[in-house]
Amino acid sequence: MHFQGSPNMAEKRVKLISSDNDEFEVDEAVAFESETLRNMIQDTGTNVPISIPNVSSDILAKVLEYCSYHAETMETHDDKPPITDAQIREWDADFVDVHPATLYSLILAANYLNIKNLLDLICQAVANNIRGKTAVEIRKILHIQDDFTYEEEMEIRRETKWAFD
Amino acid sequence: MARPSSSSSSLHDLPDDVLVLVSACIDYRDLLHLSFTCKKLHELCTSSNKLWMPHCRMAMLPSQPPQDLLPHWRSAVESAKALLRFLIAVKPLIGIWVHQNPELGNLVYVTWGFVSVVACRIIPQELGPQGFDSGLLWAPVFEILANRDGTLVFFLHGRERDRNFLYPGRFKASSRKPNVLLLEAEPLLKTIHLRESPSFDSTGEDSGGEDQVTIFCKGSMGKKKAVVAADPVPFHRLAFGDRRRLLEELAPQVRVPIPPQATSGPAFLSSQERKPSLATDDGFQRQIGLMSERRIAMLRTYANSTEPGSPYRGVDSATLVRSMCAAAESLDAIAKTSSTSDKPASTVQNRDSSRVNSPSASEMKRLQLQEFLKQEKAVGLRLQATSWRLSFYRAWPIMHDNRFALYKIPVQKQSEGREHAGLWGGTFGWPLGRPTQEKLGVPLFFLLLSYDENEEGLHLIATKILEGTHYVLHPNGSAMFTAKINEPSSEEFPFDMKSEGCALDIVKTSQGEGIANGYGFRYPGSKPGDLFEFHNGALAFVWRESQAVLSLQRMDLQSLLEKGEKVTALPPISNFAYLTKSYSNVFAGYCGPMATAERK
Repeated sequence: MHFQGSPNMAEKRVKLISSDNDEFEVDEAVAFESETLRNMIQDTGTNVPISIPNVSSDILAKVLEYCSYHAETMETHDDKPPITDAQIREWDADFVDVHPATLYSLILAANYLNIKNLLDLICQAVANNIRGKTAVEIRKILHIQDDFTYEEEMEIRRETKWAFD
Repeated sequence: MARPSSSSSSLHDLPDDVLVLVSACIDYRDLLHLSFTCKKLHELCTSSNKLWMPHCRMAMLPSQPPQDLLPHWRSAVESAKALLRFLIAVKPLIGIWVHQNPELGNLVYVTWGFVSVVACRIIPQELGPQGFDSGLLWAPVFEILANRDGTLVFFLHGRERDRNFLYPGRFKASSRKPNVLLLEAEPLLKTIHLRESPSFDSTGEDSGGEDQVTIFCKGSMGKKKAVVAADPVPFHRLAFGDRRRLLEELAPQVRVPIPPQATSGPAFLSSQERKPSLATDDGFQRQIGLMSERRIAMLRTYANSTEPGSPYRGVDSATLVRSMCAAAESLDAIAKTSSTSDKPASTVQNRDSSRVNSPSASEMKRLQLQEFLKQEKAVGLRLQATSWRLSFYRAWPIMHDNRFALYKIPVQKQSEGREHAGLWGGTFGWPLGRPTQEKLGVPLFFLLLSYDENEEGLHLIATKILEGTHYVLHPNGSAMFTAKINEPSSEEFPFDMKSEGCALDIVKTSQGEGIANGYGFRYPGSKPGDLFEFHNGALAFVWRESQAVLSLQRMDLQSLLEKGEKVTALPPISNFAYLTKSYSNVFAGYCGPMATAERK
């Protein structure tokens, strides 16, 4: 899989290997969105493929999609108008409009790869799924199975009564 | 939205650090809702302190919290969640509370203590030797401490027969932002004690949560509340005289001696220990140790005053009735004296006619006191935070003079064009805040500066909330002056503009009106004057005719309190609310001779 963040072919390319042994090749600028990859590349150079053992192909693909888009927003092109903040927000919103399980995997990947903006974005997305909602609503959105008995639920709600009235 | 193949498919599989990031984006209530969803998340949310500490920090804002103390507070209770529970209940109390009586001012400042809030009465006083930097004289009014589980413990302070006592009771927090604190007697349910049982009543939250039994139906959770037991005769329905007698009789029966650790130990950090440079010092650690010991001793006192580990029980109703009867001949007699003393006696004809048709007012009251005391086997002391719709005259709330209440002064926020909003100290005379040699002392005024916009433009109002004079000339809450800050004045400052050798620059002069004698005490008049704003931030208001000058400097109540000196409290009920009309300093007899203000 190739991500062409920039048409500048002179730029260095970085090879990444996912947990299921797929190889990804991206521009160095794209990989540099990740603090972890930046440190690795600075240590070992771009000749050796970097293996990312705890991120699967589909998640790594999503992460790199985010990184290449955001690396691109940093660049200035003479022929194209610059990407506005509103456009970036819209793109980000679309990006996190995925199944909660995907969000969790993305959080873990963003956390491991140390991509602060992506981590913030996903945490906000998860928070949006919780904010201002009842337990029943949260269960529905986040696909959580209710495993409390009636008595248990009464008990925990009584313990936290102080917060709600 | 296809499910990914990745292993992490649930929120609770996420590492702690990541959950902390998510938790920081949501409200603590959202976090609780999340903990209701399933066992694993409940376990995670309950056991993790990391998730709750950011919420504890947020709960303390925007008051100046002793942030460096928060880890010590955390270790004093069982969990960060318990700490949050306490913080949420008491945070709205932080600030300035007042009452109309006595007219010199009744200012109670509630501040953070050690895993507690402490209410301190700033007593009417003269300016100290360090001018506006002098520490303030204060007396303890009440404290609310957190138990290990985050439940609340309330103590009223008071002094009887030259001894200081603690008066344990319950604190009832308010669901809405409270603006009134009421001291009440409450019937305590003894028969059914479901600890932490959910309880609701018309007045709002019950943080102690033990006095009523509620039936829940699943599905209607938190929406429908079936209240089995409610207050049939609420305390406030009793006649004023009955309420006063009841409280005054109750106090000596619930009182406990102050444990020695609590007498010597500080309630809050003194200013030296708060300095960041000394935060790692031995002094700081020693203070923490003392405050912690004091707290434990007080909690133990509270537990002993009831039964260890059991909720607050107050005193036996029958005993209370007996002691009230000892003063009067019978309960009937109490009710009779109260009804005759509280209301002008009705005519004989009226009584006769009412007796035939319906119970007279006096009979109703007698019935109410009896009913109130009969409601439960025990009666206790309660501090109730509540939210009333108050009317204001300028920045001053209009108060009942027959409620054992303190009223919260709304925070005056500084903003652009309203830079002077907030608390100021003031003295009559010039130069600013310097005790002059010919006088023994200069009365210290506390002024609340607020803004009011009407058709005539923006006004700055200086409301007097405390004054250190010997005998008061104008009512508590009077505006000492108002200034039309957008109407410049061409008046010259009539005094020497030198302060400690350096010249003062006037940045602005506005026209205004200063307080003057009017039609009796209640209705002061006003005379023209001018407000001078100096480059160094000080203000001075000069009455044009008399050339009297009130000079003002911004005051940091918190730091002056920390530097200050504790003095003794009044008897417990008066120490909470002094409901007798008074024009002199009832809070302190030891302030030395006081110079009267040079007001005209």
